[in-house]
Amino acid sequence: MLHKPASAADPGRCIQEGDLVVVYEGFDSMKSVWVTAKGNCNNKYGSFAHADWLGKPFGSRATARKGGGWVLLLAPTPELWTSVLRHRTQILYVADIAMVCAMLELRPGAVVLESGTGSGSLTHSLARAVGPTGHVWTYEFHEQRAQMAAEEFRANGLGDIVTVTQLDIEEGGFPERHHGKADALFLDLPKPYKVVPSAARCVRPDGMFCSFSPCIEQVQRTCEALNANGFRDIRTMEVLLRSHEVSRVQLQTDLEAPPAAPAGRKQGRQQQQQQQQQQQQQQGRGAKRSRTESGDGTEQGEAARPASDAAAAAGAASEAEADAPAAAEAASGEAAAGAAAAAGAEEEAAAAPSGGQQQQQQPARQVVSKPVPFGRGHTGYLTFARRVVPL
Amino acid sequence: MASAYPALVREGDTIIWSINGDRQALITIDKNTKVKLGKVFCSAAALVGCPYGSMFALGADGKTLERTEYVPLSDWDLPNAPDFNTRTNAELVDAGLAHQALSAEDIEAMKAEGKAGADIVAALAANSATFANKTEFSQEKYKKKKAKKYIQVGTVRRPTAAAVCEAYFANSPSRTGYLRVDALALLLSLANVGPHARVLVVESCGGLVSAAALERLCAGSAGCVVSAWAGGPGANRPALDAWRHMNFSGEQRSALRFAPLHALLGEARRTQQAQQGQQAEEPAAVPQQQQQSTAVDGQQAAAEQPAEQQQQQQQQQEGEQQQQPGQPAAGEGGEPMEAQDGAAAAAEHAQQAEQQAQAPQGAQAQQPRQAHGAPFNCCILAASALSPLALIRHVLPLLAPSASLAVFSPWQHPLAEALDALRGQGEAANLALQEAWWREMQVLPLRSHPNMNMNHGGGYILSGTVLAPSARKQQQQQQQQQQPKQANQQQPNGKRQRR
Repeated sequence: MLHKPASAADPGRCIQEGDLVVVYEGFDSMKSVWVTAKGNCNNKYGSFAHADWLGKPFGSRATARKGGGWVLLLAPTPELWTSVLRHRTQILYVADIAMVCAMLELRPGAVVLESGTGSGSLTHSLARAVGPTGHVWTYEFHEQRAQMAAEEFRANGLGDIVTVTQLDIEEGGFPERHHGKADALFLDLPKPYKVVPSAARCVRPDGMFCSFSPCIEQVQRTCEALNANGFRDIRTMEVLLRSHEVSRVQLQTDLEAPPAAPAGRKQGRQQQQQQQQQQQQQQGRGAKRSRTESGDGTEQGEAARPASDAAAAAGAASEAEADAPAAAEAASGEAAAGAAAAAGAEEEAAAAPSGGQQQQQQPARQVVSKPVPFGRGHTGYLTFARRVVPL
Repeated sequence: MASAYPALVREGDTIIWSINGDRQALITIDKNTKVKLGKVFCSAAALVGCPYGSMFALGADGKTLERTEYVPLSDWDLPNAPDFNTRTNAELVDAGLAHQALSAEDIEAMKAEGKAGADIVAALAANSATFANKTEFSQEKYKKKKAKKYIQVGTVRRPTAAAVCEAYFANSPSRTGYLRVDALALLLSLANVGPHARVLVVESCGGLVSAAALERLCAGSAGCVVSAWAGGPGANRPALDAWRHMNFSGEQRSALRFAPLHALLGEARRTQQAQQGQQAEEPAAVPQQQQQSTAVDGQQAAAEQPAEQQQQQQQQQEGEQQQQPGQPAAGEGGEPMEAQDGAAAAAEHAQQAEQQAQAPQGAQAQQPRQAHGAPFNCCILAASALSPLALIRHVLPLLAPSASLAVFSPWQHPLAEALDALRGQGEAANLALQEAWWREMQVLPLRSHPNMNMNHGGGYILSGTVLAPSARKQQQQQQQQQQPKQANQQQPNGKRQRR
């Protein structure tokens, strides 16, 4: 998961037994797999034997034993882990995580306190930031969650950097052994303001505090407590990543020309159904990603697959359940591209019999991008504060 | 091991001198450095030996800095009840100066008497004809506004990457390529920068990105940051000196290397050739093979080092000369990014760091150098003048399979073009184009709201994961096999086919 001296010496390391691999099927579908000698990984692209992966470099393509379907084998990173981890709670995503690591002024050697541990999404990035010489002390009040998090950290090689303890920080504050010892502290709790006095005892002078809360009422009470407990430079902020979908469109330039064949939303119901069927067929092909038909690359599978989801993508992204907003959004970006490609193919097919002349007149498609229609509008407020340095 | 956060300001350190939390200047401390507070230039000697985070105000003599105690904000003292704040501004008519009984001369006289800023603010409130009738919130706002003018407190802040980024963005954003702190944070995360990482940076952000990546590396870790530039053998090294502001130890600094891209690509090619040659002769002799590539790289590094050093010194001199005319005034108050006396000291400090950095290299000259080259497993591209697509394809041979890639641009379109072109080519996967959005809030009882002004220039980030060359080759082969069949279907624009 994290860089090691060994990975620095050999960045092109090959997959070995016991490694964690992120199996990438598409932007919206990835999963983590532990490689074992006799393991098998089954998905809609086929059945993959782990044995075939051994000795391949990370970032390689793996082909199914039957049918020629394929997936990509990526090296795990804290960001990819955030996309594949098992949700035990709501989790933090990369925009908030990046800001927390930067504004808490984390660097190798730092000591960070965290509560609650939750699903460990942020903890992985905290561990990366403080490195082998620092430490993350993370507290979770839920026994089972604490155990599972501890197992995951161990398995992902963070065992030496992260210590998970089951403890209700909101009730009792952080243990005394941390008093004056923390360079930074992070809270993601329902009542963070209750922990502020304990935080003030733990964070060293000029050290940083951060609290993540979805509601402004929680934030207000936290800010009040911070101001009263020797914190300064209190800043509350929202950060978001707005995803943009990229596609190619062909805009009509000859305004006297007859209207082009109807495509997309304007077409009649019957045509729409036809197109949907075509797309489904295409998806079928894409899903199998057989060797002969995926000649034009990764994209064939990727573009064709989301094409049929194009209509659903907007809806899916709008659902609050779309837990990985980036994934859903970017997928719809790919979907748009896929749909455009499909539409383009039809036009070309139609144009082909009528001779080359028309083809030459067709203006080039241009690359366009726009924000995805639905995305996360709010995750939470990040409140940062700095511990006052006494005179 | 030295502490990750040295507590005290040492002579030669660069600090961020933050005035009332809203104006920042980068200053390098030495005996002769002056820092500005209000309208007075004071000796920075008072800052040496103080903990980072210390606050200073003008002493009774009005000339020297004295440490001062932090006073909690009064914003939270007002009652927090909905029926509070019953007065209205219905009667308030703007009559300008007529409302204020104190004249500018009166205020100057008070200052001359040595009255504290807080006293002046109180006097201003007492002599305002409208103050008493204002709503409590308006009164609070009035006092805050006056306090900003009459109470000047300077804070010594540690020059972390985030703080330096914010200082530049507020004062002279063009010098750091309009890189906002949230975008910088995202680049570091999305490129998976951490201890033991091998990071390639190509930037036009004054070296800020390289320095920020270096901050995330562990002192003495196996990783490195290589800050590279495009432009072929004729290109001069661009300004990449932001690391000088961040008080790196010699050991930390030694993980940072500057090199032109063509040299890195040449090195990578030679290493590959050496390995291939070796493999052809003796496929099993792995250790020897490594030795050989070390030797090749060592020679290359030795040849390159003096030139690089020279270039750095030249850069330093240029920097010194440029710093004065290049100082953009920071709006009202005109606080330059670096106090003038600071520039010379900065160079001196930097030289020290550089000497420290080069000392260990003498001992184990070739080993660390060899480590500071391709392949990289983290890559940040933030050179807005270069085509992202061209740059990505240019650096691809330097990147390890599954390397994390993050590309910043203040413009959306070049990144969209790059994403469109890379999608499905087997060079990268997991591609996403995202815009950084960041909004700060005022949080106070009964009056919390987003700040009235926000910055809309967070820029755009293209992120992805690099694929192994074998995946690329496989695909190219397939494409070649398919080509004869598809030739008659070629699209008129010659772009990639989609069916």
